[in-house]
Amino acid sequence: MEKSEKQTKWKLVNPEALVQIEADQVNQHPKDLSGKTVVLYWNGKPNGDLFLNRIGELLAERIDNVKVIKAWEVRPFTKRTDPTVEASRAMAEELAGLNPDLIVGAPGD
Amino acid sequence: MELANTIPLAEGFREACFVQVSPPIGMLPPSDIREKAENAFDEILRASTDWRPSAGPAVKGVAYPADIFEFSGTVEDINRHFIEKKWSLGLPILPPTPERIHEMLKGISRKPWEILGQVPPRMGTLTVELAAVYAAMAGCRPQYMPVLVAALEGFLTPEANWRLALSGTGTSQLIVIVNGPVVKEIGIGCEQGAAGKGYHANGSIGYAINLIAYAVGGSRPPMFDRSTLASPSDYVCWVFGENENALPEGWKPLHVERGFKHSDSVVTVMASYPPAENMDHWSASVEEHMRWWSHIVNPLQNMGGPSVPQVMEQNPLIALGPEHAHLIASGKWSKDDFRKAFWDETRIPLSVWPSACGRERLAEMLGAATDDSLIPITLKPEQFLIVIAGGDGKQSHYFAPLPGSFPVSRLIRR
Repeated sequence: MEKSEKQTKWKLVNPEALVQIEADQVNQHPKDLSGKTVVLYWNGKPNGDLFLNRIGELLAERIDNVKVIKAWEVRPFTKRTDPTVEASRAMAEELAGLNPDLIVGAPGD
Repeated sequence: MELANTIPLAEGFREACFVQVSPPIGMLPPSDIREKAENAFDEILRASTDWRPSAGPAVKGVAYPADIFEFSGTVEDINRHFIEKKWSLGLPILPPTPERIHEMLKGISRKPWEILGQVPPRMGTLTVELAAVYAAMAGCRPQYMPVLVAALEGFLTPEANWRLALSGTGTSQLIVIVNGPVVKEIGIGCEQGAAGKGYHANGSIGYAINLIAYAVGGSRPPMFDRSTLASPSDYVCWVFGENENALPEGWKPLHVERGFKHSDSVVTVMASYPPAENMDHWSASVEEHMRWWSHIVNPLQNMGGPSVPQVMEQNPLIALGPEHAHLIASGKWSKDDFRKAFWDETRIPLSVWPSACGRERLAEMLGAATDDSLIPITLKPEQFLIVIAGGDGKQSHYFAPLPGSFPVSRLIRR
C-alpha cells in the first residue's frame, strides 16, 4: 500500500499526568495479635459480614486475649459503600476511634 | 485484586495489605462463606503479623508546565504511540502540538497552571493546561473550553463520585447537561438527537472528558476500571443541552430549578446507569402515561430500597421528550405534580428484594415496613431531576444515579 502521509518531525505536548504518592504513611502491623484489639470492618456488601464473623470466631479461638470488635455493630455508620475520598476519611476516623491494633476489612463484592 | 490495590493509591498511599479470597462472596449460602473464611484464615493471620509496608521513595513532581517532546512520524504513528502509552482511548486523536494547546487556552481566561483537581481512580493531577491538551486531542474548539472545564470541575466535586463511575463494576454513564445562552453560542445540540451524532461540540467535549478519565485518571480495564461489560459511552460521554424552547408553559429549566438565573450558562453533571426508555406512543391522558412509567422504572435499577438504602437520598434524572412533557402539562400538571405521581407510581413491594438484603437501615430511613410495604425510589418526590431533552418523538429516558453520585451544577465562566 502506498504511504501517502509524510514522515514529519513533531513537537508534542506530553499528556502524562503527575501522580503523587506519599511514602511510609502506612503503620506497621503488630508482630503478635495476643492481647491486641482487632477491628473487623464490613462495608455492607452481601455476605461480607458472614465472612468476617467467622474470621472473628477463629481469631478468638486461636489467639490469646485478642479483643475482636465488629465495627458495623458498634459504629453502624461504617456499614456502607460510599467510595468518595471524604467518606473514606470519615470512615477511617470512625475506625481509628475504636483504637485498633489492626483492622481486617472485606472491601470487595 | 488490581482494583483493591488502587484504593490505597487513590488515597495517596503506596500500598495496603491484601489477602485475596476467590470470588464470589455474594449470592452464596452461609455455609460456603464460612468455608471461604476458614480457608483464608491462615493467610489472613500471616498477613496480619508479617506484612510490612515497603519503604519506597515518595513520588513527587511538577504538574505544570507539561513537557514537550519530539516525535518523528506520521499522524497515524502518533496515534499508535499514544495508544501504546495509554494516552488515547483507541479512537483517533489530533496531535497535541504546542501551537494547538496555545490556541485552545485562548478559549478560557483560567490560568494554565491552575489545578482543577485529582482525577480518580489513580488521582492524576489535572491542570487547565492538561485539560486543554486533551481537548485539543479530542478535536474541541477553543470556545468549548469553558464548558469542558466547568464539567470537569463538576465531576471532580466529591458529590459527583467520579471515582466509582470510573472504577466500579457497573455500566456507568457520565452525563453533562448544558443550560443557558452558551448552548446557542457554541452550538451545543439540544433538540433532535441532541445526545447523539453530528453535534461537534457535544461529541468532542464528551470525548475529551473520557480521554481525561482514561489517561489522567487511569480508568482502564481491567486495571482500575472493573466495569463488567462497560459501554461505548466510555468513549464519548453524554453531553446535551436542555431543550429550553420546548418547556411547557410555567415549567422552569433545570438550571433555574437549581438556583441559577435564566441568563446563566450552567453545566450539571452526574454519573448514572444506562437509561431506561419510555416509548409510550399510546397514552391519551397523563394518568395512562404514568402507568407506563410505573412498569419500566423501579428502585432496583440502582440498588435502592434495602439493597443500598442510601441511594434513596440521591437524585434520579428524568429526561422527558418534549411530546411527553406536553402530554403531562396538558393535564395541568406542574413539574412537582409529575414528580409526586412518578414517586408514587414507581414504588414496588418490599417482598421483591432477596432476604439477604438487610432491612435495618431501611427501617431507620422509612420506618417499619412489611413485605407488602411499597418502597419508593427516593425518600421524597422532589429529589427527581427533570430536564426536557431531545426533539420530536414519543421517547423519554430515566437515568438511575450511580450509588453516591449526586448532580453537581457549575456556572460556566469564560
